[in-house]
Amino acid sequence: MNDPGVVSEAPVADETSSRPAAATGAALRPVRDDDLLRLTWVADPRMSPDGTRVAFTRVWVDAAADEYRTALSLAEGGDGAGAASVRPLTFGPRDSQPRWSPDGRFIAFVRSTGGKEPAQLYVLPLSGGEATLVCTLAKGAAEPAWSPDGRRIAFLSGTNLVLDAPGVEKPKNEPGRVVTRPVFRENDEGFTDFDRMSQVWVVDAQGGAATPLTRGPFAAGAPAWSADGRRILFVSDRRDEPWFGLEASVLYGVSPDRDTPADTGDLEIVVDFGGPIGSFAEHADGRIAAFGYRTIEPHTYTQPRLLITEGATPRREVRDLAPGVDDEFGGGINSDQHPPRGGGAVPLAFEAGGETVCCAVARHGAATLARVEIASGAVTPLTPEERDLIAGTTSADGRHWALTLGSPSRPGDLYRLDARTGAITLLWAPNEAVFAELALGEVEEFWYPSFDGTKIQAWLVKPPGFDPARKYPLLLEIHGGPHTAYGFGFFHEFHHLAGAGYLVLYTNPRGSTTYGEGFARTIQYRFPGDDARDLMAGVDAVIQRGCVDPAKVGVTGGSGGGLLTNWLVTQTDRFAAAVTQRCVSDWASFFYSADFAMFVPFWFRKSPVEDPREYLERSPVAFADRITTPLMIIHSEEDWRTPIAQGEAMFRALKQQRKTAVMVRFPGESHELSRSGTPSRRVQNQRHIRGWFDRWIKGEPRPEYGV
Amino acid sequence: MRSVALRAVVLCASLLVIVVHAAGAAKRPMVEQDLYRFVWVADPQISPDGTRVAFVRVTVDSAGDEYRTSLWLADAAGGTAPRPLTAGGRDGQPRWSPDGGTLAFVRATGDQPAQIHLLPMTGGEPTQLTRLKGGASSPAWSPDGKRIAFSSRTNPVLDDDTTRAKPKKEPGRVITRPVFRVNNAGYIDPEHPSHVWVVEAAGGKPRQLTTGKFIEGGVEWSRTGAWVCFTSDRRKDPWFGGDDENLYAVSPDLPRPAEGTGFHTRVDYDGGIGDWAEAADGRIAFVGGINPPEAHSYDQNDLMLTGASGTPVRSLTSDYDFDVAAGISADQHPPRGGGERPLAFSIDGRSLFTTVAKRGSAMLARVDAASGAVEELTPANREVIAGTCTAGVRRWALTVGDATTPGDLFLFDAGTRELKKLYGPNDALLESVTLATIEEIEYPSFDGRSIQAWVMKPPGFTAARKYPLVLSIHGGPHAAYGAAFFHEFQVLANAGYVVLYPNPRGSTTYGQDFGNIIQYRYPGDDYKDLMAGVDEVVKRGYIDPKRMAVCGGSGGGLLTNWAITQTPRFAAAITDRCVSEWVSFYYSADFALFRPTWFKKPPFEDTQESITRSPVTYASRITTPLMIIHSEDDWRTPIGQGEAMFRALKQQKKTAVMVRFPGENHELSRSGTPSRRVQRLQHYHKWFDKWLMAKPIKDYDE
Repeated sequence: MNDPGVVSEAPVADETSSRPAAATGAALRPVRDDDLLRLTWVADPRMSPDGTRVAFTRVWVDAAADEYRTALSLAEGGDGAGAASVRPLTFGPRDSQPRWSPDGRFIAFVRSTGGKEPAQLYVLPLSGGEATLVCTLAKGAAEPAWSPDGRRIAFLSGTNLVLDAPGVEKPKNEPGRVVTRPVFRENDEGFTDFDRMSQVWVVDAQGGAATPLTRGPFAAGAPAWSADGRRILFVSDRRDEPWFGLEASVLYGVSPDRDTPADTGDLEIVVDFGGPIGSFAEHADGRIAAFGYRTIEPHTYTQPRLLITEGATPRREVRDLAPGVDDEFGGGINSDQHPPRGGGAVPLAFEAGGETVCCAVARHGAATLARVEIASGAVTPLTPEERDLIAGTTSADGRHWALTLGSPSRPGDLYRLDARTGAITLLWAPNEAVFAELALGEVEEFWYPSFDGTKIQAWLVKPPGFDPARKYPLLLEIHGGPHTAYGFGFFHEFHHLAGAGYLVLYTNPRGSTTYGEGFARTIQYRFPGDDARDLMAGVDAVIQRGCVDPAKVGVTGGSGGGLLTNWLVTQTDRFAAAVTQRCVSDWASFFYSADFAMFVPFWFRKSPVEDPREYLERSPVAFADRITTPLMIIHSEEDWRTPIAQGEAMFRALKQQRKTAVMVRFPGESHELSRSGTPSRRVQNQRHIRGWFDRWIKGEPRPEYGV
Repeated sequence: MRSVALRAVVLCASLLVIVVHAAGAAKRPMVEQDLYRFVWVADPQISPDGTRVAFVRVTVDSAGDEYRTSLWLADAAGGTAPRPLTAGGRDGQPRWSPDGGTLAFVRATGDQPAQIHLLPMTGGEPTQLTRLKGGASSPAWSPDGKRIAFSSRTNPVLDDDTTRAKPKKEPGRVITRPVFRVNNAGYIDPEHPSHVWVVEAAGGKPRQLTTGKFIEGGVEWSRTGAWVCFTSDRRKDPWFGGDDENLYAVSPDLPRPAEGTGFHTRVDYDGGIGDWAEAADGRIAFVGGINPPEAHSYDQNDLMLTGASGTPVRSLTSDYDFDVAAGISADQHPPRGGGERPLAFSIDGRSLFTTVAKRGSAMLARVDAASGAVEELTPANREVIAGTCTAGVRRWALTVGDATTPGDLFLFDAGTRELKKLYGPNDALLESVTLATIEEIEYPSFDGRSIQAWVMKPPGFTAARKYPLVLSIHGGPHAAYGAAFFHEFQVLANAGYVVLYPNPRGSTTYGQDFGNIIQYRYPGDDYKDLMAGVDEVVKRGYIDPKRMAVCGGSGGGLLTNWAITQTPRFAAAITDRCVSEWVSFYYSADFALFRPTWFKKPPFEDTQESITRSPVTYASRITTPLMIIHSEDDWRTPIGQGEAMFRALKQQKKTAVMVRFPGENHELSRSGTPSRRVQRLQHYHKWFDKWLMAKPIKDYDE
């Protein structure tokens, strides 16, 4: 057991820049794959209503059990009233989702006691005493939300009171599953149980019988009480056939006093503007701010906007608060060290007075908290540039924020921000002891022109002790999505590879987010294609510096980045080794087997039944005869996003030709292996990536790969 | 809600059955749940003197929802009921010692691998002979009865290394070989290939005789006892070519395990080696065939023969244009317990006994070791499933089934040709139910080729009425329907359906040409053969042509998918463990032998050929409501094949439902978990009832 929360650490003074890793004294060592096992993550920071304290979920690895642990912590001070201090509130092993009561005297949270037991709702008094169980439901409870008067708690549960009644016998062996809907399972979640969708429930905060407020084969999103306490708001897509069309959802309201659960017809439509709604926040006067967009035409990407609605319900009209700002509202950037458990909220809140909204905005590889003026649409950043804003919440008056911020040299640390003064204070940096041992390579941000003059943003991690006069091997890393972005976030994998002596290049080719809607949309019906050329232009830009051995260049990427990795090795023989992770290789079989169904007309004009040619032309495996690069295929066996048959196709195609390939299959893992998979397997994943490059680029023996 | 109601209905139905049965008056229909009542006879082993037959009795423990196997003994004289020898739940592979005094067998307990045990036939409980980490199987007694050779996956170097602690969570699997898993067996463990071992029957530490990275199997002693023989494919790169095994031998006295070069080679030729037998003069007969210069998708097995000193090899049965050492398909062969196909030299070495599969029957046959002339010994219209003979090669214990009986236990005297039933474990059950009658028919297809088929008619059938029709298509495609029991068809016929099951071109048991003619043309003319069968039955006037359905598994699923892209005539279809898209099937199947046996080029060289032959390519033409049944652990035709049909139809908002079986593989209908086999049949029944009988079935509504 290694519970970092028990060990009190002196918080570092106000300092948000990437700290130099160099500590005095002992020799520093390179980053290792198993440093993962020593990291602590700050998840789901929750500012107390009065703005004085922050509850959060601390996450760490129990290496012996090979599992993550989560427990609640409390940060105080750092606000001028004294130095910051952090202490554990609970000890886990699986506590999360802390939620302050309106008076700040209690924290509701969810706790799972046994390994497979669902988490149940608890309330912890902050005046002393153990947490008490509020209610026990067969499928547990999630996303607690206090009523404004602090008397009741709304939450989500998939419990079906009929099917889960005591005495209903389970067959010895799981029966065949009858699947009637085209979308029936979800990566990292498993099969959708339409009899047990997440519904909104309510329970007395003192405990007692919980009451379901909604029903039907639709999932409800996290509930929030309206300011007047008369209804519970939640987002839900309750269309009968949502599978193949445009995205849409509705913000509904339901009375907490119902004695029978409401189906769609009994729900109050609060906001329905014909598009998806992400997070939302309500002002005391009833206006609602939300992330979302209208869906008019099928695009692979539509940039979420900050929207506002007001007036009588149902509200069909929304106003885009900052129509001239071509940034991603509510957006973030990629990292492989966001908290693997515990989650967190996308920052969004009205400030007191209701004339401004503060929210997350992503632009050019950075995520910041920004203030948006409702009248003018002016956007002003509140947190430092070139950071990774991961999660955050604010006090009742919208002034004091609890935030997690990461940087290229650190996973997320906990901060508080006074939005009025702009003062930002570090409350907890849980990984300083680990990083004090590490020689961290420098991360350089740069821009380069692509083949058609398009400017591409990129980052280069240099091996510790980098000497520009020497020649280094180079690894190109490609992100997935394809509509996501690399940026100023921390990547353990890149620092590990840099520590092994590689230059690591990661770029945001066209298709990436944070560069405006047009930049992302341009790859529709053309993926892979010009994005691959953007990537190669990045490789050339680094080689031009003279510090790369062009015979020692490798490429790797996951998901959409695996597709591009596959594609690149069919287009060029410049790579000495490649690792394709959770890839797509054959669009037709991907169309048929992915957990989602929105290929047509978003990604393709027609289905493969109507036009297989378009699928073939964009499938790397169709060009497998051109590959000369030794390829490692890493895939998880329970990946329902890009099912493992995608990786198997590359493997069989190369093996049939007696070309060099190895496949690493991870049992018990999903598409999320590299980000939130079982700790030991995340370590193995990085070890294999490095092992393959070490074999083919450094020429080190790796007999385990049969080569 | 829905599943609760469903369970209640099922419960009522079974109560009803009990009531009717207790009244004892009329026979009841055969139903899905009769699977729980079947008893199977597996692996019959006649004692060397021919007086007794040991066998594995297989039953369903419906409370535990699993199969049970135990050893039983039948008196070869008949007259008395067989009695149990062991009480274990997972006992198998009984093998008589040469003197008939002891039975070696394997027993598994808990989650431990099976170990060899010895049961004294003079009385007393069995004793455990091996305790190996990798288990022990396939025991073979030395001719003098002093030693037992066997197979084990034990790797002493790794298994006894206490420093190799098992990690808490299974690590990522590094796959370096193109074929790395096998349906129903799972991942191939390259660190634990099966090797040959020997142990003193009196007890002691087992000794490993072979080692290395290749698998050795088919362990038997040479007649003299000087050698332990085994087959092995020792090519580095065997994945994409034809079979190539050799028969090797090692001394049972080897002080340390031998590898490759340390083996004595007895048979070395370009082809596979299945079962084998040795004559007194040293000649070896085996099941196989020389790889042809041009690959086929289907090559009949032949009986091959060597000279007295081993290779060279000649084919004995190349003029006999039917399958040698083969059988036919059934859904009620023993789901556990296995069995050996008959193969033996006559005592004088002038002939060989084997099975032949011919026109939908499987028979014991005698093959002249000089001329290769084949003489069928047991009657046609039955299927010989497994069997062994006495030391004198005169009396045989055989399991024999037919169209209305899963396998019963028989004694066959090769001298008198008398076939005597020793045990019919399902007699009472079969007596209590109504069984459909079966008519064998033969009809000309579109090009005049004659096709054999069977028509199963509901109990109480009258040709004056109009019945719904179910066309059932077998997989393989190189397999055959025939004179074998199909519970599935009986359930459907008892539910009021006429069931037609033909053997279209591509089927075995009709000759080399009839089987291989579909190479590079599958699916195609076989579909026309099937439709000609439908027309043939419709012509007889008792079918309602508006109420016809089609179903099939594996290759039969491919043809089901294909059929509904070619014709709107079917009112419902069920595609079971299907193939729908050849490209992704090529990339994901457990085996890799697609090219050049099935396709001329791999899909990345010529995608068009795969696309042209893939049913999903034509999914826009489908109008038939389709149920897709697929097992989630099917590594033969992975579930992505079924998912493709489902997504393709759903995208078009056509009628489709998918039934996914967790924890099952390609063998669901034949040896899957009992409850899931019953569920599968119930889904067949309900889907057809919904669309052909217009019954108000809500289970498949969105």
